Amino acid sequence: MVRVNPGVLNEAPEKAGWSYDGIVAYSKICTHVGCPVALYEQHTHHLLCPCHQSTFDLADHCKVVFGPAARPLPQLPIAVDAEGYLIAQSDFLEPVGPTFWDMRK
Amino acid sequence: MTSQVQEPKTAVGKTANYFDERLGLGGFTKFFARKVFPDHWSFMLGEVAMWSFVVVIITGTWLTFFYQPSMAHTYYDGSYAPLKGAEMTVAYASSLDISFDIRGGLIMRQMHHWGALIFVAAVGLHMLRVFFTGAFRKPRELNWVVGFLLFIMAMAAGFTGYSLPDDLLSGNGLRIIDGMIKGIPLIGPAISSGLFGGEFPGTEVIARLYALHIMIVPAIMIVLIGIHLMMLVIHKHTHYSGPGRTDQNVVGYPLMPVYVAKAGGFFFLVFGVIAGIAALFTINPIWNYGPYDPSPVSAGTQPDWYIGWLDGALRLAPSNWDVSVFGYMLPFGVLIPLVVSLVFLALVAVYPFIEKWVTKDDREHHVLDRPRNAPTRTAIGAAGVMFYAVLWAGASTDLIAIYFQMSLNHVLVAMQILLLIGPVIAYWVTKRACLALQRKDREIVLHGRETGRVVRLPHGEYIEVHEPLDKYELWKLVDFKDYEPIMPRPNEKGKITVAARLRSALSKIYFEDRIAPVSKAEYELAHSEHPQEIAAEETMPRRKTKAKEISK
Ligand code: HEM
Ligand code: FES
Repeated sequence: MVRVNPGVLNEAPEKAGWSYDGIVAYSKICTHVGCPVALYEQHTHHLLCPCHQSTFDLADHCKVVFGPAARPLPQLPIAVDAEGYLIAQSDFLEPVGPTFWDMRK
Repeated sequence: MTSQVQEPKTAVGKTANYFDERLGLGGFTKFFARKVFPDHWSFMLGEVAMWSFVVVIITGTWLTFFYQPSMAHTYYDGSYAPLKGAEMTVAYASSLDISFDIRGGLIMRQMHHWGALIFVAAVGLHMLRVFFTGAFRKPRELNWVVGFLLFIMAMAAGFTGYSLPDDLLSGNGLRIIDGMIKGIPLIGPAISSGLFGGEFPGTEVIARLYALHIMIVPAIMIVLIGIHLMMLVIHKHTHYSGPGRTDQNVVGYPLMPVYVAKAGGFFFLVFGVIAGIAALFTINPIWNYGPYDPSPVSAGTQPDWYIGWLDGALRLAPSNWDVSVFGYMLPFGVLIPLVVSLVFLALVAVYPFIEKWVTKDDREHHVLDRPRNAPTRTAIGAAGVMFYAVLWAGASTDLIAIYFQMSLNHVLVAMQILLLIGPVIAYWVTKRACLALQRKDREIVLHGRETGRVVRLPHGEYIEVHEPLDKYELWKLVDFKDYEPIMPRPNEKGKITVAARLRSALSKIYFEDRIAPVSKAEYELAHSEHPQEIAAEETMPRRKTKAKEISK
């Protein structure tokens, strides 16, 4: 998929090397039925999808903590290049967006 | 007596004769002009639906002159300053032009949208009327199905139309549909890329929705409405019970001139009300939402009301439930709402057949039921309404939480619980209420209405005078059909089939608690036992005159 907004601040990144200095990147497309997960609550570090209120915990690999979604938001591994720009280390390693039938094939 | 052919003398008469001789319209007119329609406010709901559909067609046709279903990119150059220069699709730009730069465009858009909302509401209420009065019984089962299809098409028309302006809200609605379609096992991803012409949002979908919205869906609807009304003419309209009203006749006013005048005038009322609402209350201010862009979304968004229950179903779905079968994914969070809503709709569609199977009643019914006289049906309807209402409210969990300053999570869990137990409570309460009302009716029929007037008889006894009912009221209270539970009977082979057992079990649920209508014998007995109490005519001359009037 193409449209992804990286760069939401995070306190405790677990997958070492996927983030840079507390900066993590996740797919913004809800894994429920695809709305943009647009609302971020700073003190709980939760991301909320306004469509059906699926809530993802940014500190915990965007696991679903509430709502009808089932999969965590896929993470984009990022790094910083020699000139100080954030770059993606690779593509998403998980399919982004809603779950569909043959996504694992 | 010799019959003589009268030559028409007036201009109108000659014209009419001209057409009659060539087209044979005379018999046709005679047939329709004398069609009888009974009068009751609840029969008006279908008419509201029909006329608002006409309003929607008229305004929609007007909109097609100016709307452009293209997803090509353009920069806005109209007179709405805040969006000047913004990048958007041609579809959105043309909807803005309709709203701001084309004379009368905004009122047309507003009337089209309000008309659509009112149309679906009227269809829904009309359906409820038909359900709760048992108007779907033989011979009208098929017309119920046609009406049901119209209800589905109304939602389809609304949804495809809602997406056309290609604003932020409608784009998000499409995104949700895309996600749901994708979740369907096996065929979902293919349907999605077929509809969108590739990956969402693509560049095709608006044009496809447009074809659906202005051609296919309205054409199907017009055909269905035609069939619906034709069946109405064939079956004749139902009526409520009253003296002289039976399952063999229909009592009401003729189409010509009474109903034509009433209904024709009514069109202008509906048109006027829709125009008034459209002029006074803004609906779908697309200029506030901005063009569709997949990344922003506004909180507290809502679909049009008739889609709300489906959105609610999505929200109330269980959390965290993707299942992998042989490596294929089944997103139950999406599939459960989908299946539940389809099952709900299917039950609505086939209800007449279920009830007929349970009652084994093969007679024709042209006299409507008062809802209380079919307690189980009414209770089932109430449970269905409750189920729908909770799903509908479910689409507003976020707004409810904000408005009442509650935790969103608590609101949602409360809704989930309510979805399961709400219909059960509604069923039980409604059934009890119906039985209580029937009991009250029996009481009134047998003993008359309490007047609160206490009279002392010559020998010193005090009694309260009960007024007898007039014929019309009496008829209303005693004229209904009542069924007894069916026992499972062996078939020709002497076996009691599973179906027979199921039927008897359902029949028991339906009719175990029943209040029989007052029979003639009971009525006469009651009236001879307490002559002074009910024979209020002697003590109440007022009543006597009324009774005389009626017997005339
Ligand atoms: C022959 C019948 C119809 C035609 C030709 C028609 C045409 C149109 C057109 C051209 C638009 C886009 C213009 C705009 O929104 O600015 C539109 C929008 C819409 N239509 Fe229809 N329509 C028809 C029937 C219906 C019906 C039966 C419904 C609903 C039950 C409906 C609901 C809508 C809605 C909700 C919109 C969005 C309007 C807005 O955003 O303000 N239409 N229709
Ligand atoms: S699309 Fe995000 S919760 Fe439904």
